[in-house]
Amino acid sequence: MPLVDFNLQEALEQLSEPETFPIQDELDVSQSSASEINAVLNSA
Amino acid sequence: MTAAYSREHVLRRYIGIVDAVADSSDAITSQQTFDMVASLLKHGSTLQPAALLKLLDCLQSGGTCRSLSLIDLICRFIGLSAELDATVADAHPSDHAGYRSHKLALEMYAFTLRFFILSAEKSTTSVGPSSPVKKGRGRGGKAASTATARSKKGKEAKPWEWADSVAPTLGLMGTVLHRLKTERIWQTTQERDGFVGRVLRFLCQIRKLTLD
Repeated sequence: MPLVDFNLQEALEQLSEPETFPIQDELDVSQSSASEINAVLNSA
Repeated sequence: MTAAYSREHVLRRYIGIVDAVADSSDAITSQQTFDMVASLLKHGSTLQPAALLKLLDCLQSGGTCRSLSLIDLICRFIGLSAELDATVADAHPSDHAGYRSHKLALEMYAFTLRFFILSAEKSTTSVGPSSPVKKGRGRGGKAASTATARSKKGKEAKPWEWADSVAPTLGLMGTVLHRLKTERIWQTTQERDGFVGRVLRFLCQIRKLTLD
């Protein structure tokens, strides 16, 4: 299990703009898949 | 770099992180789990809160879609309470290594909680049928939540609002600060002030929101 490279102070500074917070292997939920995911979850 | 994933891939990843955190609260310290949690929080305003809560509800209750409040999500999914319990259980009068080993996970939970609040503030819309949070709820939360859900059966549900979850969120963070022996984990004043100061500042921000 690879441990995350995390620094609290740096992460909080980056969180000042959540829209640009850097994430590795980021899921594309903000794009076209979001509506599909919502539909599936709402019908669960 | 953002990658396009299939719906099934996303759902599998959801299930994976819920299982991982439920199995062990320090799973948050794995790169894959943290990235998934952060990605969900980052796009919390894009995914409908109702959809996210319902999925987690179904996963936690084995397919029986019982309503979840936001504080349930924080406590069960984010796992801060479980990590706090694990830390306290590792307390030793003279050997603080085990206690100190929870530092990374605690900092990451504090961070994800802060991230969660930002997302919740953006998504402060109705999530459909949901149990209103009972202020000051303690360990009997699950039973109380279930009872509340039952009593509401057949009635029109009150739309969820972030403001309903502010008090229990403050209570959770207060419990963290009360139960932790912070000097054993953050050994320098600078480190300790960094964590405690940031948590307290965060609480003040929430309190300001409730007063505005």
